Amino acid sequence: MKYVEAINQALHNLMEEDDKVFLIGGGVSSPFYAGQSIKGLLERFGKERVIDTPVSENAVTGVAIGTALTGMHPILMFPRMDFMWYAMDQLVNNASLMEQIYDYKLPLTVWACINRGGEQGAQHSQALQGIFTHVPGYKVYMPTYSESAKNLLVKAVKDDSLTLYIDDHWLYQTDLTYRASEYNDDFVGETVVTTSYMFVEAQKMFMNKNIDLINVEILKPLNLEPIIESIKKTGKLIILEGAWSGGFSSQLAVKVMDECFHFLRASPKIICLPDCHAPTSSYLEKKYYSYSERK
Amino acid sequence: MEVIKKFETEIGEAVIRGDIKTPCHLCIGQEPVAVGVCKALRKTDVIYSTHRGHGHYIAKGGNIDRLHDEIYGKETGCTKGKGGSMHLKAPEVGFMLSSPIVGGTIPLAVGSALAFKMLKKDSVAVAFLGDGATNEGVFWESLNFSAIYKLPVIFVVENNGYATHLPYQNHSRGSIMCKANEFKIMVESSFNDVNEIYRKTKDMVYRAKNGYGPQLLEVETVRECGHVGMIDERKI
Repeated sequence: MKYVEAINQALHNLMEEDDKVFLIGGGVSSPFYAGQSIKGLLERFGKERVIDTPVSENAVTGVAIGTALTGMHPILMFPRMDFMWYAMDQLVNNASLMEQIYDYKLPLTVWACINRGGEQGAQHSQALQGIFTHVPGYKVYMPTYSESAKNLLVKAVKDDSLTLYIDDHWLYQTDLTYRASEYNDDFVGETVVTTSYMFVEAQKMFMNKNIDLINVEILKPLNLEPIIESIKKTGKLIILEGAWSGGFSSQLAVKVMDECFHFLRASPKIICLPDCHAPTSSYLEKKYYSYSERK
Repeated sequence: MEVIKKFETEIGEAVIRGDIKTPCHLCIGQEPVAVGVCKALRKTDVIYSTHRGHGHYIAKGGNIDRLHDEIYGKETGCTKGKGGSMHLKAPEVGFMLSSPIVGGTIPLAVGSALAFKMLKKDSVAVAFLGDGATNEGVFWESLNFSAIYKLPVIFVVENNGYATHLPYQNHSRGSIMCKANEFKIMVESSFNDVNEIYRKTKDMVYRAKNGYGPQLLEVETVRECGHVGMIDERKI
């Protein structure tokens, strides 16, 4: 099953099972904005449960929080992460406080999409996972495989607590499955940690190399165990992230150094986007996203 | 009203003595709004409050000891000492929460109203806000959103004439009624009189529950103290 179909199936199942679950956000009834992931939802569940809102990201986020405090389970969608900045007050000052300060359960799933490339430029491309691993109170999921795209969305909704689920449009037409790492202990190699689409990049970058590839899909709360176990074997860590520096990957590197410094034979290396905004022209865009050339 | 005034006075004095550190925005002078509005509501109706929220909490029926303890930072407080004066809650009586980000709780009330509509519950949600908050974008977004979906929400604007230290004529052009009228929202205005506020809220609750959509009540009220604590920065 394709990644995008997995998301779509999860949404159909979740909304069918529980009539408290509903989808809300700007563009949720339009495949132009939300792609094939929302296919058939409007026809099946009606506009009462597929609420296509005015472009008022901040208020709409507050509205979703309010419904979650009053017995509903909203899935709040941002077809592009770039527009989440408008909603940052509600996402940070309200949503993330509910559990920790007010002791409220907040059954809110925030579904955000990284939608970049194709000359979409600096404000239609951002990957902001690092902002939300930074803010207390969020669980952050970034599925890579089709099966996880479905399972993690279901998990996010059924957990009944604040979760950010981030998908990547570059994965929509893929059908990736989990495979155990083929690392060979007899030779030297490296631990490579990837998230989201970078799993695909890593396959290209390290083709025929002896790497222990660990793809992280739950960025927060992070399970460091498998990464540490791997570093005990390899002594080297490379982190690949499709975002700016100073975010999740930097924090991961620090945590690794905290936990198993004495097993590292070299300082951790982070390969991520350059410290600049995404350019628009295809020529520049290709340079901006071509990780393999940057290594 | 007297209970609120007495409570606020005692808190204000404790702040001056240095017994309380958390910023306390006192509502002395604005008690009629809290009492008039909340008396017209049932326990199942919910309210969202602001930084100046002690009066709303008491008027809605919240436990005063737990409010007192919260302000003193005790574990027995309504948010276990994690919230202080500006982060209160008493969901058992419909006081959902208060928060000091100006305008931040307005869309939460709209959300509760949307949930009531979806769950077919016979309840209304109330958002308390000040005149300063009407300049936040989220206020306008919330008016528009609630008007589109005809939600059972009441916006209560406590117009005390000041956005912290800034007088109304220096922070707003046009009246609050004009702002709401643009969205075809039914508007009432009132003086700082508890009976008038009660009567008008009662009518608004009826209309909100019977499909007339969002309502807005503007009360010309008076903030007798300063923005925070007893000391009035306007007189310094």
